[in-house]
Amino acid sequence: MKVLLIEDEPELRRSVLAYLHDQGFVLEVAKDFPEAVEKTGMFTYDAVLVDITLPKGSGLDVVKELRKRSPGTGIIIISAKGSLDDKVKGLELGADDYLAKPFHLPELVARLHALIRRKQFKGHQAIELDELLIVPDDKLVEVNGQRVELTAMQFDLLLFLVANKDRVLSRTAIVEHVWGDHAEAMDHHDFLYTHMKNLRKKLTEHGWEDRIKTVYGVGYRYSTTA
Amino acid sequence: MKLLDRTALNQLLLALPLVLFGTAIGYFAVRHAVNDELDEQLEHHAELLKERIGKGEQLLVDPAPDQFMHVEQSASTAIVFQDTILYNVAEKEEISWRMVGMPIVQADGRSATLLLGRATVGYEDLIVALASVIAGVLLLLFLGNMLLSRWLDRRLWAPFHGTLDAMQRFRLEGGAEEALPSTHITEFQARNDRVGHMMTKLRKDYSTQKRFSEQAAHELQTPLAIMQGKLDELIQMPALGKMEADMIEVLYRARERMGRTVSNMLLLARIGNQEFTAVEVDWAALFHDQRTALAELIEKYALHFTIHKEHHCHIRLHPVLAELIAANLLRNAVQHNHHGGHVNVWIGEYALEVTNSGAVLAVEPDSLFDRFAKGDPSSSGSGLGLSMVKEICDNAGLDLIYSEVAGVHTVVVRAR
Repeated sequence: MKVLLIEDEPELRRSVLAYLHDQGFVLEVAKDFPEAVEKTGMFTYDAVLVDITLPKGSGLDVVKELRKRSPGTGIIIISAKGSLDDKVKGLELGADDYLAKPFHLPELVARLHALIRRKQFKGHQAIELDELLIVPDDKLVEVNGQRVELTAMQFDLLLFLVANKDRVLSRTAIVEHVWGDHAEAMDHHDFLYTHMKNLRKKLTEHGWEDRIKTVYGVGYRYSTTA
Repeated sequence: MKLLDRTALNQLLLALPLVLFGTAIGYFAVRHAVNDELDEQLEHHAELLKERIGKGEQLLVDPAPDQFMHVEQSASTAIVFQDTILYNVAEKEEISWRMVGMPIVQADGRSATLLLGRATVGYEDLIVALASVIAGVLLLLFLGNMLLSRWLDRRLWAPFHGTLDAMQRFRLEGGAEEALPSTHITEFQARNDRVGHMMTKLRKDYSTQKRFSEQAAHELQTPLAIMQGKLDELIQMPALGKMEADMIEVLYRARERMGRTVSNMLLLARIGNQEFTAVEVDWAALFHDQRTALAELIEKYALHFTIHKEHHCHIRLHPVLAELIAANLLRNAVQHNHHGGHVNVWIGEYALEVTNSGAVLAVEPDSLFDRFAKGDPSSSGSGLGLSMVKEICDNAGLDLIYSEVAGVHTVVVRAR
């Protein structure tokens, strides 16, 4: 999948580049407004990640232009401007999603997957991974052809892990992903541990080989090479 | 008490004794003058009669109804004036008289006393009438003066009230610049200039400060994003030792906490600086959503949670702001609760109420909505949640009221 990252901060660009590359995305970068205009004008991308505050122009103009020219491209705004005004403005102009800085890289990957699924597969995409079959839009999970009933939160958790397969996910990234604004209140409790334990239990009960690895002191990883 | 009323009261307090005192003085002065005049007349008359009696002339027994003459067969040495009351046959009642007693020598050479009297009924009436006129005139004078000064005050103080109104309407943000009424009175004009200057400066300082915190928060977001990215990369390193993992965990938490504070600061700065379109809000649905989001905590604390919708609530707000209010109020009510406690949401036509059990407040109730007011200083919360609610309410013209009775905390959001 081809993704364009429009971001002026070199270190952030480097991190996103490295992380997305490892997740199998083909990434191109634009570091200012003219470059963004040039690249979006010349090539087609599956998704574009746009920073709003750019040198020599506004990311919002890129969004506007892109939406007109290439309706099939998914657009995610990544902005430091705070969620209120840019969120409203960006989504009005046709962006598909909005991610406020600072964000977790796994969160960006999960959003990208969801966006591409929505845009290109109209939601009808099944993810097959080892013994797992996941149909995100139907909230369906099967292990070796056997249906597994998961709660909404467990499903969300599994999808997040699978989207970032073979990557270590920090606990804070997962908590923030699952509980959003209320992550702050959940931080000190063992809810994540409990959810993870129940998820693994439900899946292994259906003959699934436990591929969710606890990474000591840091978080969890869905490991395909187990 | 209003300045005008205070002035009027003072005038009245001064006027009352003056009127009483003035009337009394008037009364006694007139009375004294009348008595003097009467005494003089009586004395002249007595002198005349004394001469006649000396020559042996007879006196009339009853010269006139208002006159009295009598020769008493007892000697006296000096002229004596006195007031007395005698029964009057004509009037059939006791009336007051002014009397003079004069020593005389009768034709036969015996000493006697001539008593000569004049009824003073008519004079009394005159004196009372005069005193009443004095009292009336004094009262009218004071009343007129009071009304005049009230009217004048009202006119003179009009610019003062105009400025006062403008100051009451003054808001740090939003709202138009208040035009202070211009006036010809030097003191008021000087004060208006000063007040106007201060208002402008206050507004400017406030918005500068807000812009600063907004820019500062904004500037912090990018380095935070870089830190976050590097941390996310760092944990991918194979064979992280226990020590490294622990340190990374600490860094993650610190980053998280900092990020929350910064984004809330940004949000706070934004709320005041931006216009938000208010729409009808389904508050019950909002609270239900937040309850679901907080389900784990509610379950952990075994909280009894109710949402009671009495009416459709007409408090209109931008959807993002409405969600912020619901989320922050509920999170607060759940987090600062005790095991087996309760959280009750009540939705009325023009008010929202969140009640929860909990410990006695560790911060001053008044400072509850202050920024960074935290019950537990080491908590990971940003301490900005409730101040955000306050900021939203202030900007939307809603009242936010907090109260605590015996460990039951209530926060009310109410349309004015």
